Amino acid sequence: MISMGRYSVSLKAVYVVLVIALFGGLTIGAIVTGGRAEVSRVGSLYLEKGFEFPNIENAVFGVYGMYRFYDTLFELLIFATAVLGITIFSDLESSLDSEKSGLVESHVVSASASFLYPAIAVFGIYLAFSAHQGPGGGFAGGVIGGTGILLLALARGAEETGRKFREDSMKRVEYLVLFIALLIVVLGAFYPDTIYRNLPGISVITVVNISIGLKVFIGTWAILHFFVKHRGEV
Amino acid sequence: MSANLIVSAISIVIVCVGVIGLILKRNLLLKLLSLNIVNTATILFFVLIVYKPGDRAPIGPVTGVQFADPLPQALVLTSIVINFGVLALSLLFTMVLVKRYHTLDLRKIEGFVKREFEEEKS
Amino acid sequence: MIALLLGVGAYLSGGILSLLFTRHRYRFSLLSWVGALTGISLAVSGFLDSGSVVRTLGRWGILGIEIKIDETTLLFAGLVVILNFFTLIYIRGSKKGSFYCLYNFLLASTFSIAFSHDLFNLYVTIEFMSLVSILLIGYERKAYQIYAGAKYLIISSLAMSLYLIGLGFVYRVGGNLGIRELARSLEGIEEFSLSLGLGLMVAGLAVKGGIFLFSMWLPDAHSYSATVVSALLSGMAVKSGLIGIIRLSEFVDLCQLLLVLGALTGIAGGVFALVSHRPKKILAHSTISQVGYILLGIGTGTPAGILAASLHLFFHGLFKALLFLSVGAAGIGGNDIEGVKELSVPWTSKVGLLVGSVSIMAIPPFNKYFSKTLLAEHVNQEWAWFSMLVIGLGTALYTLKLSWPLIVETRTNGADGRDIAVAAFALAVGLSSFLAWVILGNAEMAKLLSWHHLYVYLAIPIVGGLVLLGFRKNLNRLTAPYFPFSLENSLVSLFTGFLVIELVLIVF
Repeated sequence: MISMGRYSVSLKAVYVVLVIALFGGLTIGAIVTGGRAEVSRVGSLYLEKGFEFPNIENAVFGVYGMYRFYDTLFELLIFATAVLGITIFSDLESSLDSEKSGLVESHVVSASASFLYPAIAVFGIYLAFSAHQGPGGGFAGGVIGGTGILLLALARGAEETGRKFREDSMKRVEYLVLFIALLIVVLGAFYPDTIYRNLPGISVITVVNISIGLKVFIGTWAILHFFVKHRGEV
Repeated sequence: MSANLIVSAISIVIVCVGVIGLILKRNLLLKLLSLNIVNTATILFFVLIVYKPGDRAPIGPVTGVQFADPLPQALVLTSIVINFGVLALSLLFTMVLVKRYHTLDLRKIEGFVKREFEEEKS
Repeated sequence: MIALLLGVGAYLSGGILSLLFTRHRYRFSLLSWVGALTGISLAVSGFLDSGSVVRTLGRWGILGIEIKIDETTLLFAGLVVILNFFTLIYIRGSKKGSFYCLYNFLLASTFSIAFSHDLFNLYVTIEFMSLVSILLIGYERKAYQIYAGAKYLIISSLAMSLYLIGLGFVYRVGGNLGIRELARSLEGIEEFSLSLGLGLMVAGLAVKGGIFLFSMWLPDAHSYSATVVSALLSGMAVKSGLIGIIRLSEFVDLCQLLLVLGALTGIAGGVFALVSHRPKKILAHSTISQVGYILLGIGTGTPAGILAASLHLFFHGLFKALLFLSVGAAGIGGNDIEGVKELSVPWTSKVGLLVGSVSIMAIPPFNKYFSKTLLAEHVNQEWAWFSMLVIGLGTALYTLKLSWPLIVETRTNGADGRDIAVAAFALAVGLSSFLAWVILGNAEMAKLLSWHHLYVYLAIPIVGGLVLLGFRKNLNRLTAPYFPFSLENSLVSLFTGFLVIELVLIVF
C-alpha cells in the first residue's frame, strides 16, 4: 500500500490505472492520427447495390438481412443459447414466497403499467414488421415487445403472466424460427433472386423479420421472467 | 478535429473507466455493470469511427445525398444482441454463486471456491 | 461452400432436434456426425481438385462473407469431426438432452470457424463458441465450475470488445472485412492506427487461444469441467483463437511478435505444468505450452511453417483429448498426483495415457514428432530454435511426472464399455502419423526422420527422464501459486500483455 496523508492506495491499483491509461492514450492517439481508406470500400457498394431490390429502403437491413445473413443466423443462435442457459438452470430453488411479496408495492405503478403495456407491445410488433422500410428491425421490435410484456407482469403480477405464456409452446416456436433462419441461409446462398424477390402480398423478407422479432420477444420474456421469479436477498 | 473523432475519444475514455471499474471493484455486481459499460462504449466507438461529418442515415432511395456506411451499423446490431446474451448469462452465474455463498465479494468467493474444491477432491 | 453449410447445418439441426426430442438424442447426434463427415469429404475432394480457394457465401460477390478452404481449414474441420466421433462414443447416451444440444452447438461453431475468412464472421462465431463453452463448463453446477465459467465469461467478453475496437481501426483504414480484399487494400499502408488495431485484435484472439499472459482463465476452466468438456475445449475450442491469428497473419506481418509470444507461452506453460499437482490441471497447462509451438510455427512466416503449425494443431487436439479422456475414464482427474498408489486404473486408460504421453513427448513414429521437426526445420532464428528445445524438455518433464505414477505405480483394473472407447481412440491417435505421411509425402518424411533430428528429439525425453528420476521428490514439494489466475489479476495481465504486443509491433 502506498500512503499519502489520509489516503492509501494499493500498489496494484496504481499499476492498473497506469496500464489502462497507457492503453487509452495509445488508442486515442490512433483515433486522431488514423487515415481512412478511399479505395475499394465495401460500404459504398452496399449503398449502391442495396437499393436495387424493389422494396428495401433501409440499407442496413439489406446488410444483415440478405448479404450477411449468415452472421445474423449466428446472432440468433447466440441469443437462443443464452435462453437455453436460462432454461437449463430454471430448476434452481427460488427462495421467494411470491404470493406474499408482490412485484410492485404501489397501485399507481400497476395501474399505469396496465394501460401502457398495449401501446408498447404494439409498437414493438410494428417495428418488427417494418424493418425494411425504415429504422427498426426484428431485434429492436422483439426487445421492445418483451419489455412491454414485462410491464404487463408489473401490472398483473408475475405468476399469472407466467402462466399465460406457456413454456413448451414458446420453446417450440423459438426453435422453429431457428430452423427457418437456417433454411433461408442455405437456400439464399444458392438462389438469392428467388428468395428475396418481392412476391405479391407477403415477401420472404417480411417473414424473416417477423420471425426474428418473435424469437427475440420470446427469449427476452423468458429471461426477464426467470429473473423476476428468482429474485431474492443476498 | 471533427466532432465524431472527439466523441470517439470520449468513448475510449469510457472504455478505460469501465475496465478500471471491472478490475478494481470487489463487488461482483459492480464488476458486471462495468463490463456492460465497456461493451456499450465499444459499440459507440465502432459506430463513430467510420462516420464522415455530414452523413445521413442510410434509409430511402434518395440519390445524391451522402449516406453513412451501413456495414458497421449492422455489425453493431449483432454486437448488441451478443452483449445482451452475455449479460444475461453472467447474471445467471452470479445468482447461482450468491445463492451458494451469500456474499457478493469476489475475493471471498474465490477463497470459498478453492477450499471447496480441495475438500471435495481429497 | 456446400461443405460448410452441410456441416454447420447438420450440427445445428442435430443439436436442436436433440433438445426437442430427447428420446432420440443419441441418434440425432450420430446423424449430425454423418452429415458433417459428408461435408468435410466434399471439402477435401474439392481441395484435391483445385487447391486453396476463397469463396463468398451466397454469390453476392464482394458484398457477402468470405470463406476459405485450405490445409488449415481441412485439418481443423477434420479434427472437429474426429473428436466428435470419439467423444460421442465415450458419452454414449448418458447425459441429458440439453447437453447434447450444447455439444452439437459447440461442434457447429468450431466447424464454421475453420472455414471463416472474414473478420466479423470470426467475431460472431467465436462469441457463439464461447457462450456454448461457458454453459458446458458450468453444466454440472458445482460451485467451482460456475466460478470458472463466470471468470471465462467476463474475460472473454472484455477480450471480444477489444477485438471489436481493433476491428474498428482496421476497417477504417482498410475498408473491407473479408481478408482477401483487405490484403489487397492494405498493401503498402503502414500506420500507427493500423498496428494498434491489429494489436487489439491479436490480444482479443489471444485470450481465446491459450497464449500465456492472456489466457489465465484456461487452467481453471479446463481442469474443473467435466471430462468430455475438457477434452473438447482443450482439443478444439482453444485452437479457434489460433486459427484467427493464422488468418490475421495472411495480410499482415506478425512474425516477430508471434515468435516472442510463442517462446514465452511455451516456457511459461511448461513451468506451471511442472508445479501443478492434479492431472487435469497439468494437462491444461500443457495445452498452453503446446500453443507456444503453434505460435512459433505461424511466426516463421513461411507456408511450410504454417502447415507445420496446422499439423501440430491437429495432432495436439487428438492426443490432448485422448489424455483427458483416459484420465477422466479412470475418474482420477482431480486427485493429487502424490497419492495415487492406492488407486486402480483400467488398463485401457493406461494404454491411452501411454499413447498420449509418447505422442506429446515427440517420440517417433508417433504423430507429434513429425510436426515438431517440420517446425524446427523452418524456424529461422537461433533463439527461437533454442527455446523449442527448452519447451521440449519441459514437456518431457511434466509428462513423465504425470504418466509415470499413473501407469506404473497404480494397480490395474478391468475395463467397461466407456473405456473401450478410450482404447479405440488411443489406437486412432497412434495411427494418425499416417496422415502426416499422406500430407507431406515420402521425401519430406525421410528428411524428417534423418539422424540429425533423431539425435536431438530422442535425447530430450531421455534427459528429461533422468532429471525427473533425480529430482522428483523436490519437484513434488513445489506448488503453483494461485494469484495469477484470479479474475482481477487475469485482466491485469491481459492489458500488460497488450502493451507488450504493441511494443513489439511498433519496434519491429
